[in-house]
Order: sequence, then C-alpha cells, then structure tokens
Amino acid sequence: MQSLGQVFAHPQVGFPLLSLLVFLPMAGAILLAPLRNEVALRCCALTVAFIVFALSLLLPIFFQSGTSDMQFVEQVRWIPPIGASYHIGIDGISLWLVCLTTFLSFLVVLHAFYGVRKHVRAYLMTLLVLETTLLGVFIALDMLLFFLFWEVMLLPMYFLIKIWGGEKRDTAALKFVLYTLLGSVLMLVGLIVLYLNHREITLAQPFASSLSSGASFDYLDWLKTPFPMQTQIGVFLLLFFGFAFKVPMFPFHTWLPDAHVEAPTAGSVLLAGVLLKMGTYGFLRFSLPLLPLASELFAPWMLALAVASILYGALLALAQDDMKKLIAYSSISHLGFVILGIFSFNTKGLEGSLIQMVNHGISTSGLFFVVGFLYDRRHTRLIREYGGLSSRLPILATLYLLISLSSMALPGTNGFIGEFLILSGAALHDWRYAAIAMIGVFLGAAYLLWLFQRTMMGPLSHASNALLSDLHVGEIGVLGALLIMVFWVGLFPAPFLSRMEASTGFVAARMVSPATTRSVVEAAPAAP
Amino acid sequence: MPILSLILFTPVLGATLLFFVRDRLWVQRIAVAASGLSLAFAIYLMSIFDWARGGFQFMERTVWSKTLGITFLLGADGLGVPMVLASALLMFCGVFVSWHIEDRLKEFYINLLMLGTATMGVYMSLDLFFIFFFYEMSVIPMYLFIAIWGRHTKGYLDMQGDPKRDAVAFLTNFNRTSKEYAAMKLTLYLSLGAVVALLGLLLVYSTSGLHTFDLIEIRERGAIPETWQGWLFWLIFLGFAPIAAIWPFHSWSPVGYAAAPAAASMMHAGVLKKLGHFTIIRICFYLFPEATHTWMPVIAVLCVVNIFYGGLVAFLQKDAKFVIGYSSVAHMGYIFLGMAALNQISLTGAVFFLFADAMAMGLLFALSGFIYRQTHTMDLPSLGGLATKMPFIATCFVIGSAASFGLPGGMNFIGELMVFIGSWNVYPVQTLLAAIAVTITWAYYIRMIRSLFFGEAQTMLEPVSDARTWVDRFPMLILVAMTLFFGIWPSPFIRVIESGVAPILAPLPRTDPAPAADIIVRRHSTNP
Repeated sequence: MQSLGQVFAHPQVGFPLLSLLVFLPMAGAILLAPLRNEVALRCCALTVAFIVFALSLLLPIFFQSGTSDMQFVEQVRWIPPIGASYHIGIDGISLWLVCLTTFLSFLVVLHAFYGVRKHVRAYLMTLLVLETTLLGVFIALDMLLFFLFWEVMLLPMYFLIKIWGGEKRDTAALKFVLYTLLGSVLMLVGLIVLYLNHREITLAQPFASSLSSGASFDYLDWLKTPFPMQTQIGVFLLLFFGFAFKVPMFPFHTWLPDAHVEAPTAGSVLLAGVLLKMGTYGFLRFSLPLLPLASELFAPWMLALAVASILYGALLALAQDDMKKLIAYSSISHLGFVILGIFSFNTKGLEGSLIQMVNHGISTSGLFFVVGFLYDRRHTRLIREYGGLSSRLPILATLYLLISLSSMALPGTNGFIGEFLILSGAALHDWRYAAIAMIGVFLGAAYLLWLFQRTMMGPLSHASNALLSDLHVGEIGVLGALLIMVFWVGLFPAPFLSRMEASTGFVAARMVSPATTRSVVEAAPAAP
Repeated sequence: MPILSLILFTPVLGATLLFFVRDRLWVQRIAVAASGLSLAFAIYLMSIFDWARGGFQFMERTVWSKTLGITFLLGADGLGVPMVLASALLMFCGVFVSWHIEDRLKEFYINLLMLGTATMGVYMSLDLFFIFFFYEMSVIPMYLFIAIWGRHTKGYLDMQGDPKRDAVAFLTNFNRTSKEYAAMKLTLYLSLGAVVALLGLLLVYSTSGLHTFDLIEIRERGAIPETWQGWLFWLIFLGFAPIAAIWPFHSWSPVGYAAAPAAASMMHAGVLKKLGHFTIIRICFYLFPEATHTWMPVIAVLCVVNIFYGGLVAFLQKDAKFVIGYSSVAHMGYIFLGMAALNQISLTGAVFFLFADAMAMGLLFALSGFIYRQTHTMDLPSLGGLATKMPFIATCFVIGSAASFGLPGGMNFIGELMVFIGSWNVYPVQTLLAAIAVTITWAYYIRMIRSLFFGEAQTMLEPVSDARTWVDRFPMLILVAMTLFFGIWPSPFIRVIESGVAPILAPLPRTDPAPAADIIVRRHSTNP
C-alpha cells in the first residue's frame, strides 16, 4: 500500500508558513474592525492581502519537486478523543490552488479600491475572512478540519452576495447556500462513514496504527486504509453530491448562473476563481485516492456527466443575452473539461485538469472583471446594450480580447496547455469522450468570439456608449496581472507542471494498482 | 547558424518592438526591417539548401516537455523551403501593400508579423504539437484583420438603416454581407477544422505507442495499427480540409478574402491556404502511406468538384475579390489532383503550384487592394475603364491573371503541366476534366479584367490615380518578377521540391507516367 511521507514546515522553511498564510487574512480582518477611514481601510486590507500573497510565493520556491510527500506540514493535536488533529500541508495538487487563491484575493482587494462604495469596512473584512476559509480548504489534511473550512466558507460568500449583490440577490444567495449546504451535509455523512470504517478496519488489523484508539480523521491515515467495495461505492456517491454541487456539474448547476449574475464582481471572481475549484479538488484529492475502486466503477458515468456539462454549458452560453450568465455557463463548460481530465485516470489528464483549474481561475476571473468594469460604466449586463465599444474603449477591448483568447485556449495562452493535456489524457483513456469534448472546444471559441464581437466590434450602438471612458490604472493593473499569468503559463508551463508531476503521478498510480487494495479486501472477512 | 529559428523569430521580435513604438514612420520602418530580414534569411536558406542530398536539413531541436514528449523541432526539407520563402515574401510585400492604412497601422503590422510567424512555423515544424500550435495561432490574427480592418461588401452597405443589419443573428441568417459575418465564418470554420485535426493528432500520439509528438520518430519507429490508419487519415484530412478549401468546406474562403484587407488576403490565400495541403502531405502522406493510397481516389473526385464549382461560381460573381477568392478555391482542386496521383511528377507539380499560386494570389490581392483604395468599391458592374487611369496596375493585373489562368510563361503553367502529366496515367478522366476547366478559368479572369479595366469609365468614380510611388509599385514588381522569372526558369524550385517529394513517395507504390516525361524531368534537373 502506498503511503505518503511528510516534510514538516520547520526543516523546510523554518517557520509555520501555512498557518501564517491561513490565519493572517483573518487577523487582518480583525485589525480592520476599529478603523473608520476608508482610505486607511483599503490600504490596510491591501497590505494584508499583499503580505499573504508574497508569503504564498515562498511555497513554490521552497517546494520540492519529484516527491509526492506532503510538504510544509504542521500537525498539532486538536481533539484526541475522536482523532481530529490540526494537520495541514500541501503537495503538488494543492500548491498552485493555494497560490491562485492568494493571487485572486490580492486582486480582489485591489479592485475594492474603486469597485465598492458602501459598507467598505464590512466588505473588506468579508473578503479577508473568505480568503482564510478558502485557503483552509486546500491545505487541510484532517478531514474534520477540511469539513470545517468547507462549511464556514459558505457564510462570507452568502453575505457577499446578499449585501453587495444585484437586484435578485436574496434569492440567489439563499439558493447558493441551500444547494451547497445540501451537498456538504451529504458529504459529511460520507466522511463519517469513512471515519467509522477506518476505525473498524484499523482495530481489526493485527498491528497498531499511530493513533492507538484507531479513530482518526487524518487523510494520510485514511490513505493507508483499504476500504471495502461496499463502503467505497456508498461514500463515493455521498461525496459525489458534495463535490458535484460545488463544481457544478450538470445537472446540479442551476445555482451558479443566478449566483454569478447577482454577485458583485469580487464575489464572482472568487466564486468562479476559487470556490468552484473546491469541488474538482475534492474529486482529485479525496474521491480518487481514497476510493479507487468506486471511482473506477463510476468513471463512465462521471465522464458522461462531464461531457454533458461541457456541451450543455457551451450550448446554453450561446443562447444567453446577459454577459455574466454567459460566462457562468462557460464556467460550467470549462469545469466539465476538468472533470473529464480527472476521470481519465492518467497523469496527462490529471495534470491537465490541475493546470486547467488554475487557468480557469485566471481566465474566468479576467472575464468577470471585464464585465464588472462594463457594468460599472453602464449599469447593465445585457449584451444588446453594448456594441462597437472598441472604438471608444480600445484598451478594454484589447485586454478583453486577450482574456477571451486565453479562455478559448489559443496556443500561447494558458488555456491551451490545460485543454491540450486534458484532451490527450482523455484520448489516451477513451477517444470517444475526447471526440465529443472537442465540440466543446469549438463551441467555446464560438460563444466567446461572438460575445466579443457583439459588444466590441462593429459600429458603435446606443448613444450612451459614446460617453464611456476607457480603463483607468487600477483596472488595467488587475487585468494586466492576470494576463502576465496567462502568457507565463502558456509559454513556459514547465515550472508549473513539474511541481505537479509527482503528486498527480501518485494519484494515477493509485488508480492502476487497486489490485493491492483488492487483494487485501478479498482476503478480509466479509463485513457483518 | 540556426537559420530556421532566425527566420521564425525575427518577425516576433519585430512585433514585440512595435509595441513600444508610437511614431508612424518608425512603425513602418521596423515592420519593413523585420519582414525584410526574415525574407533575407529565407532567401539565404533557399540558396544553401542542399537539394542533391534532400532530407530534412538545418534541424533544430529543443525539448519543450519531456514527460509529454513534445519537442520544439524545426527542419526544412524540399517541400518546406519554397513555402517558407513564399511566406516571407508575401509578408514583406504585405507590409508595403498596407503602407497607407490610416487606422492603427501599428497593430496591423503586429498582427501581420504574427500571422507570418505562425505560417512559417507550420511549414518548419516537425513536431505534431507545434504544427497544431502554429496552425491555431494563425486563425485569430485573421479574425482581427477582418473584424477591425476589413470591409463590408456592397450588399451590406446598401442595407443602411435596416434594423437587421448589425451582426447579431448570423447563426440563423445566411445572407449576411457584413465583415463581422465574414470574420466569424472564417474563424469558426477553421477552428472546427482545428478541433478535428487535434483529435486526429492526439490519436496518432496515443496509437503510435511511442509517447512522442516527433513526426520523424513516429514514422520511423511508430506502430500505428492498420485499422486505425484509415480513421486517422480521415480525421487529419478533414481537419485540414477547411483551410485547404476543399469543397464542401470552402465557403469561408471567398467571403473571408473579400472582407479582409489586402495584405491579410495576400497572406491567407497565398500561404495559409496552402497550409492545408502541406500538412496533409506532411502528416497523412508521411505517416499513413497505405491509407493515403487507398483513399486518394475519393480526393481525386472531390478536387474535380472544386475545380468546376469554384470556376463556375467565380464566373457569376459581381465582386472582384469574390472572383479571386473563388478562383483560389478552384486552384486548390488542381493541387489536390496532383497530390492524389501520388507520383513524383504530379506531386512535384502540385507543390510547385503551391508556390506559384502563392505568388499569383499575392499579386492579385495586392492589386485589388490598391484598386479598392482608389475607387472604394470592388463591385464589378460599377467599375470600368481603369486601364487608361492606372496603366501600371492594369498591366500587372493582366500579367497576374495570365499567370493564374495558366498562361505559359507564368509559374502556374509549369505546375499545372506537371500535374496533368503526372495524373494522366492514374486519373485520366479527372485530368481531362481539369484541363477542360482551364477554359472556365480563362473565361472568368478575362471577364474580370474587362469589367475592371476596359469598357466605359464610370463617371461616378472619384479621381483615381495609378501606382506612382515606389512603395506602391514595389510589391507588385517583386511578385510579377517572381512569376515571370521562375515561370521561364523553374528549375531552382523544381529540384528543391523534387528532393523533398522523393522520400515521401518512397513507401508508396509507384505510378510514374511514361518514360518520355521522365526525360523532361531529368533535363530540368541537370540545368545549372
């Protein structure tokens, strides 16, 4: 049975880097509480976000490629009676998701300089608390800790939509919370089943495990446990609901368009950029390695659902007349690709889906920022209200085009790397899924270019469009930062891919050697 | 000296430099310098290419991703060298043809240089990933050319005030005449082809068992199963068929060229379209010789449809650029006939035709661009009598048309002749039909010349002037010189192309024509 080693934070980088990363934003939020001056608030929040981002850059620098061990690990006993510990660490899978979160949070706080007018203090505090919870999900290695961060993340997001959202924000916020909550409750049941199973199996084994009571919520301990087939199937389905609601996969996607349309720009950016990745991260981190047999069993269904998401999202995007809804459906389509990559079970597909998670975070955030800038000027998201804007807003049009090209996977941009890897992984696994998924690539080009054309190209329509002003420095800065990443990952993906290799290789290897798991399961007596 | 990289990256350097330049004169100078330097290197490449030895020369190899098996591999063989020269030459001429563009000249040149790079990249790449990479990279600049700098056709301008005029419902209304429609049609057609081709390339990768995208390695050591070869042939063929403008995938071409600015049409009709044929030879012929041999008869029939359909429709057109566009479609049929016959003479003739047509199309689109700039219309019924006003242009146009319809003395004649000689034994019916179709070609070209230059001068024309300045005359002169000079003395190109064709045809069963033709070829080869 393969086991993961751990490299603790102290020898690796000298101080508890991850804990600092996770709790610094929250500390910053508390620091903001007594301030009143808006300028002071914004600067303070920006400083905190910048420090967190800078610290997170230490992670890839000190990260050791070539090993799938957990790194920067910190472990402190938390609730010994039930085996829950404060256990955090990252590996190749979570590394870039953590960096993505800090990067996007930094950009969002920067955007807050001009993007929010009312309740500025509460807004910034919400953003920072949200950052803490998001980071916590990706680095938690203890399942209870993971669930804690996963649930708590709902609260700041709810407030973000409810207080600073659009007209129908109440419904949208509630829908978002209830949907996701249903999923996470089912996920909790699944985790508890796994916990109980783990305890049973550990106690049944002749040799003692590290926690002598056999009770453990620790992910690394669970990895060593060969869960029986029945358990795996049941838990896979339960976890599936938790993750599939988040991704969101067809047919559980209906909360996303509403949530995006009503959320403020920052909310959409973090929602699309980070929150949605939690679902796919869940599949990659938990469903596949912990439940390899069930994953293999359900793979055809998952691939079918992935392809359905791709096509459904793309086709519906073509039919939208609201820009944000269009981008929301495009998210559904893009994340269908990620699921396709994950359930191809080979290194290419897994690496592709990981890098695509990061890419989607960058590209779709860019698109939402652009829509946000347009909305700030015209207060409408309807496509027909715009037209021919490139003559008045050339900088916006250029940056918007580049972001669109990244989203439609033009070679040279980050999207191409992810899409190419996912499609080669899918083709290696089963070429039929790849063939159908290709249509999604084509449709992606279609709806993105068409949106760009309707809003930016052609003659300038509507008198009010003639009065608009082009992007100012703050807006250019945000988009510029995203575009730097677009081209960096697109032209020089090696540093990004090399750090993921070992961990994705570990997951892929687990999928092909369930023989080890099988033999242990078959040898064990049938469950009562 | 890494000559291929120099040719490929000089335009990129020029484009990057152009970003920082504001002064119009310096923009023009840098564009000329970058494209001129690239052209100089391409001419040098042509002169030092060892045609006696053949094979792939000047190879450059950089490993881009070891785990994925992607190498940045460049190499020049007898097929690629003339096409690289054609691309560089058309890019250089295109710079002069667009000299007078008022609106955003800098961005135009950046686009043109990137388009040139992408084209040359496909001609030089020997790695499947990079062939696809550069091919996809060439699609978007064309979209920008048409959408930003393109022109609407007369039908669109006549629709002033009609509410359905603007580019909204192009999916359902096929009668659009706006440039936005042309841009979307071209981009979506080519993207769809790219997606199908990608599937084919990924399947080549996975079925060859080698886990590399290196073309040469796949041919030498790959073991693609027999059953797959047919499917892969069709996937790649259909993937590149749209860009090669085979009927029925050609309809993006006339409308796209009519809407595009002159330099873009020159590049696209000149060298990008030829990419389709080139990649089919480079990939299908090279990797799947048996499947190619099996399926060529189907292609032979399709190409005759191309020739007749393109020709007859060209005859009916009222817009000069549409005539040239459809004639380009028809010429593609001749090239396919040469490719279908699969013997030394016909394939050499086909590739020589690629080069010849590049020159001819470049010349014709450059001239029509000049005429459009003077008269602001390309509508044949409203033009006429331009010969007295623009004698230089008229002369060049007549020479270009003469070359294009295969008058002896032009390069196209040599290509056509070789195609006919080579294909007669294998496909006598198609060759006979193709020869008869030459009459149609003469017909529509002469009709166009008569409508444009002779007859009564229409009084509604603004004062038009001839090409007086050196800038305007230079591109025409170069292309006319190329056509005439190498039409009379084609052997430098023929011997280079022959050396490239021979290794491709080696695994195929020989279908050479009668010995008499061999003597003609041998005499050509021994010419100094």
